[in-house]
Amino acid sequence: MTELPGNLRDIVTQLKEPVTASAGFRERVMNAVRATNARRPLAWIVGGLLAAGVALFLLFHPRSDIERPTTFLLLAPHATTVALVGDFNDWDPSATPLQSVGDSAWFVVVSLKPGRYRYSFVVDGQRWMADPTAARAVDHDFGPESSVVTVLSRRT
Amino acid sequence: MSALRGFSRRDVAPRPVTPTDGEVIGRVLAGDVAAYAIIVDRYHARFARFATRLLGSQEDAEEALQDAFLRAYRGLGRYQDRERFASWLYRILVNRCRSMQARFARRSRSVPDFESGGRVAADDIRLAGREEAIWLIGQLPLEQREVFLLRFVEDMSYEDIAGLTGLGMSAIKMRVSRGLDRLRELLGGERQ
Repeated sequence: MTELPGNLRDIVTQLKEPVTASAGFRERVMNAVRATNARRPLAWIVGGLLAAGVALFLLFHPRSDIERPTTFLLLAPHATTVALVGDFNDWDPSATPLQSVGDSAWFVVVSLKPGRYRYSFVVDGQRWMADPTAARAVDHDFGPESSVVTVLSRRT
Repeated sequence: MSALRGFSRRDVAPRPVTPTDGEVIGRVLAGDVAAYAIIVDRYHARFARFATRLLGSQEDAEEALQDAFLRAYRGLGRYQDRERFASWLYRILVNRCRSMQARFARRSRSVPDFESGGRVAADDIRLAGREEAIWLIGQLPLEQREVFLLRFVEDMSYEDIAGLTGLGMSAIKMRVSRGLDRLRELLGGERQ
């Protein structure tokens, strides 16, 4: 209180006046406490069932919404640019350029949700080519040959 | 034996001993749920005053305090330092009050029972009145009001306030200082 000037001491004295509990406050608290106890076994049962449900869901659900990093690699020693086109980027040659590594390797990592995708490489902005290391797609309705990649839903 | 001469039976009869918080909590955890009422009775008055002054409304204060008692009860089994129960309960209450204030702010609701107002001439304030005191403290921002109440109304040391609020000492002192400045300003710039 020594920090307080005199007029503020009067204010503090007023603020120190006790506050009387409203009628039934103690009973309200104790009723809430007892209700907590009554609900506790039920909460354990519900919680246990929920936890089991979540565990089963995670175990068996295909988790189709989880994207997985997928690497695309092409050996093109004389190329100046290489791009990846496919179902996942609307076959847009400017969307997914590959990075060159060393003298001839080009790669890119794309996050894809589980599923089957057709794709091709575009070399030097003009030449479309399928991935020589992957399966060819039979339904290549975009004209040039394309390859197919399947992204699995779970880690194997 | 001579030392006992002069003592009546009444003098040496065991007097009822008030159980410590730790003992009460032990009983509650052993299944005597009704014993928790001892805790409620023990701390209600002091904590209700703090919450009422902080929130400006006894109704809101009791809601926050009931919630704090309930949360403390649910956490009793996990709380090890039973003899420092009061500090723990205080901390829970402070957090409940802060949450409640945040809720008021989100609803764009003015602080209950604290009418807004600007600078007030000293003559307009009758310091003898509790309502004026409550109005004045309500003009402080919550962060300043909280430490002001803990320091001057609850008579806590800065160290205890730091332990309770999680604030650093310098931050607490700054808030107290700013709160005092603001109150002086509201009182018309009087300085003593």
